[in-house]
Amino acid sequence: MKSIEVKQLSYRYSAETELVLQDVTFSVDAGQWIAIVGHNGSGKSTLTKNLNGLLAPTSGEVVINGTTLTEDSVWDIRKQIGIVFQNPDNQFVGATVEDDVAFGLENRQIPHDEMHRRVKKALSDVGMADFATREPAHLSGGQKQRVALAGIIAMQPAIIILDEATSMLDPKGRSDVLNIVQELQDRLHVTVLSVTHDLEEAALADQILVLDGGRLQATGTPKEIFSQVALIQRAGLTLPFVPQLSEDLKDSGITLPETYLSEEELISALWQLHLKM
Amino acid sequence: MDKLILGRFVPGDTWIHHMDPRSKILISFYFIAIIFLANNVASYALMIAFTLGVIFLSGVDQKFFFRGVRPLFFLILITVLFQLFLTRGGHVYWQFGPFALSQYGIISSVYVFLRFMMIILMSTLLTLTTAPLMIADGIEALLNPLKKLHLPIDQLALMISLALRFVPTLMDETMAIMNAQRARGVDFGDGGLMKRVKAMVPVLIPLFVNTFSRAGDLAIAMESRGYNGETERTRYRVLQWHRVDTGAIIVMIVLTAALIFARN
Repeated sequence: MKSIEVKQLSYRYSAETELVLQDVTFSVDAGQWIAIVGHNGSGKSTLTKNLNGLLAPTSGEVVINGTTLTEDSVWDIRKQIGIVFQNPDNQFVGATVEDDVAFGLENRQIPHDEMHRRVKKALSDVGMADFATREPAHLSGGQKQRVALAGIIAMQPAIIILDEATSMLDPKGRSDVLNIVQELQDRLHVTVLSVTHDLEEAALADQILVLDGGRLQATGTPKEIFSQVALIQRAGLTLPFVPQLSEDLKDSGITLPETYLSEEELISALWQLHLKM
Repeated sequence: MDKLILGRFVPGDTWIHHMDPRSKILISFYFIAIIFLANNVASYALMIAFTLGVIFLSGVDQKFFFRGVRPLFFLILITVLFQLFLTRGGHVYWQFGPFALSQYGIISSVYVFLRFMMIILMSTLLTLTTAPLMIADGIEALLNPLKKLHLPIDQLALMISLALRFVPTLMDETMAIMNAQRARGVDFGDGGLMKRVKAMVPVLIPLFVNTFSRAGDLAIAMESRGYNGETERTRYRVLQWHRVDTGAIIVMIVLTAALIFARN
C-alpha cells in the first residue's frame, strides 16, 4: 500500500491570491525516504500542511495509508503523521523534556503507566534520557529537536515529516537529528518525508521531488536530480560539494561515468579513471 | 530572571520539598488567615516560632528570604508608619497635628510589621520550595471542582504551564532585541522616566510581533500532535498525597488549637 498519495493537489490561501500549489501529484511507498526540495516560497511548507489537514486543499486529494483526508478523518490522520517543525523553541510545549514528549500521548489519552514507559523509551531512542527533567531553556537547538523527535517516536506514527527541521541547527545538531531519523527508518520502517532546501540532507533520500513555483518540476533519485544542474539552479538551490565537484570535473572535460554523492565514491572513481582511459 | 517570583525555586530534599503542592498551597493560605487571630505577645510568639521553624526545616539559605522581602520593603515601611503615627490610645508620648506617637500605636505597628513579615516569609517559602510547574499543578487540582460549573480548568492549566515555559524564551528574546536596538543607538539607561519608557517602545513592538508568530507556530505544532482543546486528556504527572501531607495538616490543627489557647 502507498503510504502517501497526493492527487492533483492545488492550494490557494484566499480566492484573490494565486495558487501556491498547482496540480501536485506524487506517491510514496511505505518505508521510503522522500525529500521535497525547493527554495523559500516554492510551496513546500504549504504542501506539508496540506498533508495532515492543517490546511484544506483547494482542489485535489490527499490519501494517507489508504484513508482520504477529510474533515472527519483529520484527527485519525494526524495520529499517523508526526511532524518536526523548523523552530526548536516554538514546538516545545512541555515545561520539561519529559512533559514535552508526553504531550502528544496525553492528547491521545494513553494510560498513565503506558505513557511513562513510552516516554522513557522514546527519550533513550534519541539519546536524551539523561535530560528527562531538564527545562527547554537549558537545551541546545539540536537537543530540542531531538526531544521533538522523541515526542513523535512515542506516538508511533507511520510517517515522519521533517519540515526544515534541521535548518536552524548547527552542523553537529543537524547530523545528530538526521542520524536518529535514519536509524529509526531502518528499524521501524517508517516513511520519512523531509522538506528542505539543503540538498545535502536531500541526498539521504530514496527519491527527491523538486518543487518550484508551486509545481512539481522533477522527480528522481538524488543522482538523477543532482546531474541536472540547470534544473537545480532554476529551482534556486545549491548542489552539495561532491556532486558540484563532479559536475565541474565533467565540465572541464574529465569524463566521469556519473554524478557522485559521497566523497569516497568520487575518490575511488577518480583514481580508477586513469586505468580506464 | 532572579527577580521573577516564579523563577525563584531552590531545589532541595527536605520534608517541605516533598510535600504535595496542594497541601502546601492550602496550608500557606490557611496560615495567612490564622495569623489574624493572633492578638497578644504569646500568640505572636507562637506564630513566629512556627514560621522560623518551618524556614529552618526547609533548609533554604536565609538570603533567599531577604530577597523575597526586599521588593516589598517600602510597602511594609509605609504601612508600619501609618500604624505608628495614626493610631491613638494609651499613653501619648508625642503629638504634632494629626500625628501622634502613642502606646497603642507602637504596639499595633509592631504587630502589623510581624504579620507582614510572616505572610511574606510563608509565601516566599512556598515559591522557594515548590517548582513553578508544581504550583501550577496544585492550583489546577484545587480548582478542579469548578469544572462542574463548566469552567475551562484544563485549558487554563495548560495556559499557565505554557506561559511559565515561555518566560525564559521571551526573556532571551527581549535581551536579543534590546541588544539589536542598542547596536542601532538606542540608550536604555539614560534620561528621565518618560525617556526610558519611550526607549522601551522599539523593544516591545518587535517582541509583540514575534510573540504572536511564536503563538501561531505553537498552535500548529500542538494541533499536529493531536491537541484539540475539547477531548479529555490523560495526565503524565499525577500529584500524590503523602504521609508528610497528612502530618502537615495535623500540625496545622495543633497550631490552631494552641493559637486559640494563647490569644486573649
